Amino acid sequence: MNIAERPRILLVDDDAAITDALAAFLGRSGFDVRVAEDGRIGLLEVTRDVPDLVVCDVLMPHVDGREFVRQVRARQLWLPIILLTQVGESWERSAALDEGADDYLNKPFDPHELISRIRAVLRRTAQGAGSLRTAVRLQAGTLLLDRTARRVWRGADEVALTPKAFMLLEYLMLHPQEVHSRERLLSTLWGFEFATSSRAVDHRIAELRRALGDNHAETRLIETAQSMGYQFTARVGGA
Amino acid sequence: MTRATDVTLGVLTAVPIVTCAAVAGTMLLTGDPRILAIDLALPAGVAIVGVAVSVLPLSALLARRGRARATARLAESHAAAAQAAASQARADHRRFLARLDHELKNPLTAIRATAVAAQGGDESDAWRTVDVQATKLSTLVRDLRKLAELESRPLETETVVLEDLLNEAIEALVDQQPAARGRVTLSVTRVPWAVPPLPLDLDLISLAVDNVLSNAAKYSARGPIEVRLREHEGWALIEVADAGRGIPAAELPFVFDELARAQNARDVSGSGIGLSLVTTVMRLHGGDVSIRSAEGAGSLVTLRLPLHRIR
Repeated sequence: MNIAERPRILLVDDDAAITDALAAFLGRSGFDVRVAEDGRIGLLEVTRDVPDLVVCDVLMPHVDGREFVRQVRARQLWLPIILLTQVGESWERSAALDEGADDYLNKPFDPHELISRIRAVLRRTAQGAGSLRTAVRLQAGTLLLDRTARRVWRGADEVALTPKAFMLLEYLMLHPQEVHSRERLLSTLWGFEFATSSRAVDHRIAELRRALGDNHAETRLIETAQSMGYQFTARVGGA
Repeated sequence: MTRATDVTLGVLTAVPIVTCAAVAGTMLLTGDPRILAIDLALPAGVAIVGVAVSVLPLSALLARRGRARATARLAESHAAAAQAAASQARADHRRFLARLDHELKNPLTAIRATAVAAQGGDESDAWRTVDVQATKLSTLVRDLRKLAELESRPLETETVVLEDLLNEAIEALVDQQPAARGRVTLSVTRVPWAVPPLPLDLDLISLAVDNVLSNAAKYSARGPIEVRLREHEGWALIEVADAGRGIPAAELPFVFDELARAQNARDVSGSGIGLSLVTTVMRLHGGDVSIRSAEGAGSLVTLRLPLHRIR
């Protein structure tokens, strides 16, 4: 896929007020946009002409967003999908409900945020990192994370983590070499974002660094991006 | 006592009297000459009189005790009903906010997308105002919904050292509001009773403490902000005191209500979500929050957490 051209996006939502406005905005931002009015039409469109990426609402009549993802994957189509989820759904809950989407965004969202997610997901897909999504185990150097068993090893030693720290590590490893702001991690992973709560992320990063012994600046897995947030810098492979 | 029991007792009372009266009347009319003579020793007679005289006040006493027990049972069931009603009201409120949020999210998404798509580079663009206000509205509705969701959120507890948490919260506050630097002090009472490490939801307690601290800094432009941690009769107490503008007495009872903002706070930005958030977090932990304030003098907010949680 050549993302230097205008990437082709399929927008699936049953609310015309949203598709009209978003299609115009995405078009202006350099994307080639098609619209489907619900999941059933979305499936027809995907099969007829596979787009580079799908942005799909979760709550729709006939075929809802999750069913849409399942059916697309059942057709052996691995194109990236971003789901527009319900407020209050943390990434963990969304991911548990559905294992096939590449990213999630809560309505109502900042349209610019949607653009940056689309670009990040397209970049990831182009680099082949999209395949991590289906991997049961993630590996980076001597660090191994088992997504099904919810366990982590550093070399031969198992690392004990709180559920939140595990969730954060899994997310960072699934989205390597991307800077994630605290606010974004909080809203995506924790499912709550009150103005003053961004220290919750710092607490878990501190726990991860302690538990993983990730304290040497030269060999660090998780980097702090100056006042911006965090990123997982090591290369991650599926195992 | 049920109606059936009342009827039975009535019947049991009436039957002996009526029967015996009828028999006695018949005997009298037929001129029955027999006499019943009882030989009774005087001490026994005195004892029987004593018992007979005592029975009267005794029955009164028993009746009073019965009434008291019934009143207590009634009060208990009233309290239980009030509690059930309160939690029912909270559940209704939560459902309402979820519906409101659900109905608003699509229009808000559409408004924001339209406003962003229509915006030119011009600073005075009306669409920019639409965008900013729609964003504000989104945040408000989202926060209200999250607040309602907190009620049913399971606590993820871990061992928390409150002193460390307070130190960290103060550091974060000073980072965010450099004007507060040098004004905030923490004093911890350790002797003879220190606050032990407690099983708490670190994220939520941090949220509550951050809120109270940031209020203290927001509403007191100068003067000290004292943070105190101590043990008191089985509770961990966190006090945050400031010498700020305080809250008018008339508005004090409503400060914990959602969206409540005091008349004298209009010039300071805020959503009015903070203190109700704090209340919810404390209630989830079996604790509570209280406030003392005098307009023009300052405020003292006290967070209480039980040292031994009774579930």
